[in-house]
This record gives sequence, C-alpha cells and structure tokens, in this order.
Amino acid sequence: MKTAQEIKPGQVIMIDGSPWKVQKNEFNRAGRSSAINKMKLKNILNGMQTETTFKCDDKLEYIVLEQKEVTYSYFADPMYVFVDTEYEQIEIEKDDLENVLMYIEDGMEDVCQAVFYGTKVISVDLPKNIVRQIAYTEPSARGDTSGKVTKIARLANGHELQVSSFCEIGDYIEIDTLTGEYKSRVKR
Amino acid sequence: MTSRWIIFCSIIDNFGDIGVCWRLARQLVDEHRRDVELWVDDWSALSGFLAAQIPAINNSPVFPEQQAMTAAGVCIRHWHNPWQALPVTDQQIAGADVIIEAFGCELPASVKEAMSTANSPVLWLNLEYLSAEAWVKECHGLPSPQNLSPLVKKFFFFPGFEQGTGGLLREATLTSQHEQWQQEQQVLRQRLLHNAGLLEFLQADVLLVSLFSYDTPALASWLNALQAQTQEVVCFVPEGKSLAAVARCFARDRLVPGEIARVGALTVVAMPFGSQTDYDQLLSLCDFNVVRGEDSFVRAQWAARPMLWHIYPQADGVHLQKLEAFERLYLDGLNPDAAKAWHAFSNGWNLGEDCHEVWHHLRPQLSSLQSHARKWQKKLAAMPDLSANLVNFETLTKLSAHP
Repeated sequence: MKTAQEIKPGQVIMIDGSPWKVQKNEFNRAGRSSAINKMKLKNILNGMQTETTFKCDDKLEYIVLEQKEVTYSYFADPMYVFVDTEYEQIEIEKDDLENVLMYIEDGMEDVCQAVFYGTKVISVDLPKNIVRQIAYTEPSARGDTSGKVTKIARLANGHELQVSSFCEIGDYIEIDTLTGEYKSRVKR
Repeated sequence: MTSRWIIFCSIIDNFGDIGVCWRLARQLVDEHRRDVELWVDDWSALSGFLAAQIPAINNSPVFPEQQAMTAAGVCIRHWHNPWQALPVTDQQIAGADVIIEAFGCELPASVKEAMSTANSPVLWLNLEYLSAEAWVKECHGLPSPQNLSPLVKKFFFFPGFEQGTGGLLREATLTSQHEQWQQEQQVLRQRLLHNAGLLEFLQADVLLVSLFSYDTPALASWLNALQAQTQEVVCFVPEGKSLAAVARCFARDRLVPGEIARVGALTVVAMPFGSQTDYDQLLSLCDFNVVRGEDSFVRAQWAARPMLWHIYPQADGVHLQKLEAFERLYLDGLNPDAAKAWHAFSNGWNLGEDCHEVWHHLRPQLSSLQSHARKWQKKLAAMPDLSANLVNFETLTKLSAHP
C-alpha cells in the first residue's frame, strides 16, 4: 500500500479489482493541515479515463509491474514502435506515451523503460535527463551570457520549451524529463 | 421514506466546526426533511455551544453526561475517541443513506468495515474546507474510490463561492432576515447599545464594529487607530481568542463578558458567547466586521456589511494563496480606490503588520464597501446553497446508480 501522495504518474493502482494507471497526480492544500490529491486515471484493461480525489494519506493498493529496457524505433501510425534488447518489437499507443511524447523523435538513442501489465505495455519512461537538438530559436540577444534571460526554442518534433537566451539553432541541450525544464547547453 | 443522514464532526478549534455542522444539520432537518444524526467528539465543547443555541438545554439534568440527545430535530450523539466499536452502532451508521465526514475528519475504522458489508447504497461525502481557489471547482464532486463495496460511493464535496462548487450554507430566510434587521437598524442598534449599558451613545453618530479574529500583532495597531479617531467607535468582542488579545491591549489580565473598556474614542464591549442568531444580528448591525476561519467569515458575507477576513494561518503560508484567491473574487467590481484600501488592510492584518495607517485609508471607503458588500451578497444568493446542493447530489447519485 502507498499513500495517495506517494503515488507517481505511471504507477498502477487497483480500484474495485481493476488496474488503473495514474496519468497525473496533483497535490492541493485544503484548510488547516489537510491535503488532497487529484488523480487522472486510465483503466488499463478498457482504456476508460476518469478523475478522482483522495485525501493525501488515503492508502491505495498499487502493483509493481515488470519493466524492460527499450529504444525507440519508428512511428507506424497510430502506433509508436520500440525495440527491446532482444530486438523484439513493442507497439505502444499514443495515449500511453502522454508524459513523454514531446521528447520522442526519430533517431533518438535514449534507453527507455517500458512498463508492462501482463503482456500489454502501459507506459514508457524516459531517462531523467535527455539531450535534444534545437531545431529553431530566435537569434540570441547580444551580450547576455548570464543564462537568466530565457526564450522559446523548438525541438525537431515541434515541442517548444524555454531555454537560455544564448542558445542557438543546432545547439544540444539537456532537458529534465520529470519537470520538462531546460537544464543546460551541452557539447556534442 | 425520509433519507437518513449522518454527520461526523471533530471539534478542533473553538466553535467553528460545530457551528457549521450544526447549521447544516438543522437545515437538512428544517428545509429538506432529512433525518439527521450528528456525531460530535468533544462533548463538553458541544454542551457549551448548544447551551448558547438552545438555553433550555443548559438546565437539563442529564446533559452533558448522556450519550445521545435530540435538539431542534437533530439527534446528537457522542463520538468517543477512541471509538467504542459496537457492531450494532457501526451497522446502524453503515445503514445510513448519506454519511458526511465534515472538514475531512476520519470515519472510525470499524464504521468503514461495517460499510464494506452494507446491503444498500451509501453515499459517503468528504465535506471539505471552504476555499476560493480555482482547483476547488476541478475537484468538487469527484469520486474517491475506497475499495469498500460497490454499494459505497465516496465523493469530495467542496463549499465555494462560484457555480461549479458546493456553494455556501444559507438558510432560506437568512437574506430576508438581514434585510429586515437592516431596515430596523436604528432601533436595533440603540437596543444593542442599551443592552451593553452604553446609554451615552444612543443618540450619537457612533461607528459600530465587531471583532472575532485570531490573535495577531495587527490587532493592537488597529485598536490604537480606533482610539485616535474623531468619531466614537464601539467595538463588540465576542468571547474567544480576540477578547484575550484585546484585554492585553488595554493592559488588563482579561476582560470578562459584560465588561466595558474605554480609551480615547474607543469603547470595547466584551460579549458572552451567544447564539448563532444573535451573532448574525450583530454582524447585520455593525458598520464593519472582523471575522475569521470559515463560519463567521461566511455569515459576515450574508450580513452584507464591510468586513475583514482573518484567515486561519497555516505554517507554510499556503493560507495567503487562499486569501488572494478570495480577494480576486470579492474585489471584482469594486472601485479601484476602495479595492486598494481593502487589500492593504486585509494584507496588513493577515501578515500581522501595523494596521494604523491602512485603517485610516480604509475608513473613508466604508460606504463604497457597504454597497459592494450588498452586491456581493446578492451575487452569492443567486446560487443554490450548500445544503440544497448536497441534497441534489444525493438525488443525482441515486439516479445514476439506478438509471
């Protein structure tokens, strides 16, 4: 058992005998010392989605799932295809990649973790830090190398994020996949 | 058949929690014909509270030793802590149509166990604290599956100020009652002053304020500002934390109900803990009310008078976000000068700062704040109240369970 506030997106909890994948878990402070967790859940078996609330210390039954190392191979509409270490192909629906979709791009070499419920892949986790190349950003402001001023940059797959103003088109940047934030410019 | 509702109330601080639960229980009985049982953990606090609401109870030879009693149609029962698990009692509770955990209190484990074997549908509601924050609308009415039984459905229910929330408690006659009090305010204010023994103010142009706050350094500075006014001020202070703080400002060990203290233009009247109706009337007759927590805060809004909210302070400052969220709604439509003055006073008070100066900026805005308070009351009154929303929720849940 875990408390509602300990449950992380991607984990699976059992409700009335069915496995539900936690897609989002938001924490809100109510009055006095109470706190509330609002979760977005997806039923692994039938795909139904719902939203729920729990007291932060409500105890929830969660299940530990099998994981496998995989790398992204290609997109075969509407499935994303990954390959495991034994070159077995694994197909995953777009909805199950919700938290990482913005970082999926052709040619990526990140070693990811595919999470299984039985034989079904229910999510893919990226490494905490990944490196991506900037496809487009406005030219840098002259003279500012402090990194405190930010601007928007676009990755190859169209995802946009805030980066330091000194970053240029073609630069490689490190991104924290848990927060979605730019961390630093890296050399390649 | 009348549906049976059970409310669990844990008294944490003063009479706020029981005040809300008692109002809700009474409204469910009086206006919605529900059969209501109210379980309260602090029997001695409850007896003090009820004695003020129903004076006859004070003379009852069996109260507070007895474990159950009926008052104003509400069956009140003692929630022993730790819970004395009696299967019969647990089963009887689990057989209710609706069970409410007020302010997120926790149901006894054996009651939950009994609910897991319920043979009829149970609607289990976690009635949360009031907040004006945007996330409240997103969480209101969402299910909270508990893996107890398919017949037990738990939901979170949030009071609030906007459509899409559970609303605020408001008895059917409350706004018309305030209207009537305010139409008769000249006579009623004179009676209030007369009862306090302040005969010299009967014909005077005196500012009436009420003070029911938590202790804060801001209080002393506000009382200083009131003393220095040219207009006489009478400040009514109901028994509680603020009365002790006021006594300190007058360099007194304490002020007892009925006592009067004077400095400069300020006269303070210490009041005994009274009935909810008496407090509503006091709010209705005062030109400015300082209120706190949740119950008096809501009542002050129904009184349609200028007010200040002393929000319950939380350790990590999260209460300031809640204050800001309320302010965003409350100040909407108020003229910018009055809004600025109200914000400065509210902020100063809640941060425990010196409020002398900001009070002098707020005072000239009282008439703008008065008309705004009336508009705000009307806006709130246009929405269904909390008890009606709860009853509707029960109906809708039953309909969805039996399409």
